[in-house]
Amino acid sequence: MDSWIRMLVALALSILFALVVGIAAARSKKAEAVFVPTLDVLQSIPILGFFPVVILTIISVFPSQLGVNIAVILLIFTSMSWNIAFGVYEAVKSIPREYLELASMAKTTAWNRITSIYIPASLSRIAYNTQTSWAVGLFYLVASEILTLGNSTYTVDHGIGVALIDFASASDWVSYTYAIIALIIAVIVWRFVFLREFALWSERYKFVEEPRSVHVDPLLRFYSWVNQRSIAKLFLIRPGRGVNRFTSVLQKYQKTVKYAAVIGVAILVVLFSYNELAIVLVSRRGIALPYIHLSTLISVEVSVLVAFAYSFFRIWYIYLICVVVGLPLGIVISLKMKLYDTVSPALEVISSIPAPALLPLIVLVAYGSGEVVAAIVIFIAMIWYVIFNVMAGVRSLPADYKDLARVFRIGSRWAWRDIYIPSAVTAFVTGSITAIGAAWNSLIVAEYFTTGNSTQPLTQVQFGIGKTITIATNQGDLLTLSLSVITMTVLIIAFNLTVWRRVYQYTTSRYTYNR
Amino acid sequence: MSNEENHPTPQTAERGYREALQPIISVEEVGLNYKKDKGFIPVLTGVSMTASADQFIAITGPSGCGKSSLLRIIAGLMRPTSGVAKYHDSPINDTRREISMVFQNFVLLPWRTAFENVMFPLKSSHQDTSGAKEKCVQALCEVGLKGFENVYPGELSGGMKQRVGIARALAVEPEVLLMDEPFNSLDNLTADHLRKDIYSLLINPSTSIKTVIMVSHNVEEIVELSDQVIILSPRPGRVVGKVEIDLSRPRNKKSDAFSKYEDAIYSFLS
Repeated sequence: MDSWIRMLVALALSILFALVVGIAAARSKKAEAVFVPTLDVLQSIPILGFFPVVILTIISVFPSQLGVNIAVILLIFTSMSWNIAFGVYEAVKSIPREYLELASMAKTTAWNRITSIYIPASLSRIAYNTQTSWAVGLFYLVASEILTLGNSTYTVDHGIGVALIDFASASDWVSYTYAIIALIIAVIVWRFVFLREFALWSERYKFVEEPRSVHVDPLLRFYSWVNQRSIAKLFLIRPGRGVNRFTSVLQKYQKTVKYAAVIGVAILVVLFSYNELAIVLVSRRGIALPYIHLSTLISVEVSVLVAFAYSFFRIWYIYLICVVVGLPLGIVISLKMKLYDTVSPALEVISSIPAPALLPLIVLVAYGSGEVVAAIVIFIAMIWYVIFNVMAGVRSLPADYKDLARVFRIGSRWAWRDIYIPSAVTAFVTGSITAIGAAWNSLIVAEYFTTGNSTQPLTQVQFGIGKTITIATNQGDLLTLSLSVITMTVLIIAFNLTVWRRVYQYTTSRYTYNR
Repeated sequence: MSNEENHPTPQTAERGYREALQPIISVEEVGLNYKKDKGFIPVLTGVSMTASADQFIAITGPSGCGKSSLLRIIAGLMRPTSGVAKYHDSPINDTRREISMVFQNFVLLPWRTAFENVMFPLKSSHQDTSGAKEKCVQALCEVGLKGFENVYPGELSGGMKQRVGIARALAVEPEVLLMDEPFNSLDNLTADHLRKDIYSLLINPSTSIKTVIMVSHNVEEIVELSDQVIILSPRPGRVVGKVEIDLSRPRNKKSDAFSKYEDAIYSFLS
């Protein structure tokens, strides 16, 4: 119950934030130049990595339960809001001009315009994106509730995540199972009853009939849709412009980017000169000022880089396992109508369980090996994105192509090689990008995990950036913590922009149907 | 027997005469029901038709009359609920090499070049020989796409894509060619252009094709191309009329005889 309230508060905040930012960005050029690139970047960084920083900061301001609850809600908010904000932005942006002209001819007030045009116009997108955000938020809810940071004062008192961990650490597996079942039922009821009704209801606020049906395959559609949108954002590409005309926001907002870069460099210079000054002052005059020796900085950074490299390879080898399992499975399921009808609801239910909720169970299964625990958690975090995207890709293959294979009596080996696998490629790539993103987030719980009361971690790997971050937080090692978070963010964004962006561009230009 | 006038070579005439007695495709009393909820919707009832050598058959009717379903039954993509469709004497239970198809939406593989698209059916049946490659180049040449072998479908215009689709159907050397609204996805000018080429491309002694069955709802196109028109009623589709078109080729769309045939077909449709 407490957990659901946290989710609802976060959702309400997200929608409010989305309306303010989305409408502002869509209606004002200046706001657009600031918000859109900022949201783009915020959406592509592993939020969970920042959680320890957030919790430490907030607790220093609001002590006790209030602070922890604020931190949890804030984290869920960050996972939910960008997506909804972009929805509002795009919805308001695409309001037919006639309506605005009508409004200005009728001399309506700004407030009137917001309540009678902008908000209704955004409703269907809000409803739609809420389905996505809710599922993502659940992951963060459970993850943030069970993140204990070595000290039990930093945990919320009640919540589904806390309950799960308590049952597990008391080895009360019966209650644990009940809690998981309760969670699943709540998720199903909520998503397929309430959120669906909300989406259906908001359909009436659409300006034009879109060939998108709310009735079919909610989860399948949800996963593939999230990706197409969020990927486009991830690469600073505005969606809906066609593949060949990639207009990057980077180009569009060159000025903003330039200013941001200048400010960034200026901050670095100030910090560096302050640091050098501090060293001089401390040694010569004996004035007490905090400073860092360059050699410490380098050695910490090196250890962070090593940990990052371990995590990087961990994620990639598990990704390969996901591909080997998910790609054929996704294709087979979606090619056989009957199999699809029976299997996909089951997959929807299984996939609705947030990976962190299963952590105690996984630890029990893989007792003794932190590496295996990490692998399983990361695998669960990734596999659904791969499977559901491949399924969506194959399902979007026009029925004519199956006829083609039959009319020309194409052998199944050839049909797979030349029709089915290529048909899934674009969706598979978008799925992969999101899967890897989800994997980075899962590291925080996957690589190192302690329960509230014990000093001995429940599970840990030998090296990994997730572990480094958690331990640094527990020890209050702000230098390592901030360097880890910054390094991880910079490297992930750099990898996305250099590698994934190219792969994405290539596959979308070659592997899409054009009639 | 208008065909013999158009192809007065002794071989064709003789072949046409002999095989006219025995149709290549015969549809006998075919009925088709779609399942819906708990009941059935009849789509086709008691449809019979034949296609003999050197015949270009058109099937038409109001939308939803089941003309595409009929074509799919002949292709072996669908089984009729009652009745039977036969290729020579054997019932069509599955797709077969001798029956090929041109699709309304081209259905080319976007990730393969024009040549690879034409080669695809041959390659997948392990006919990866230089002879097969020769055949594909030849087919592309016949449809007027010489020099476009290494171009991807995305870079071709609609008309050219459909030409690739036709070349792919030709390259497998079928006896029967089925076309499902082949000009429907093309703009008027392009479609006109392709229609001018297609008859002589398909029905001539050098190709393996002996009969063509086309589904269309464009009456002008039907009169321009076909020898016989089969007109279906609104759902459930049954044959309400057959019109033999006895005009010499190339056909003049402005002629009186042409419009008389158009009127005749329209009279069945309305």
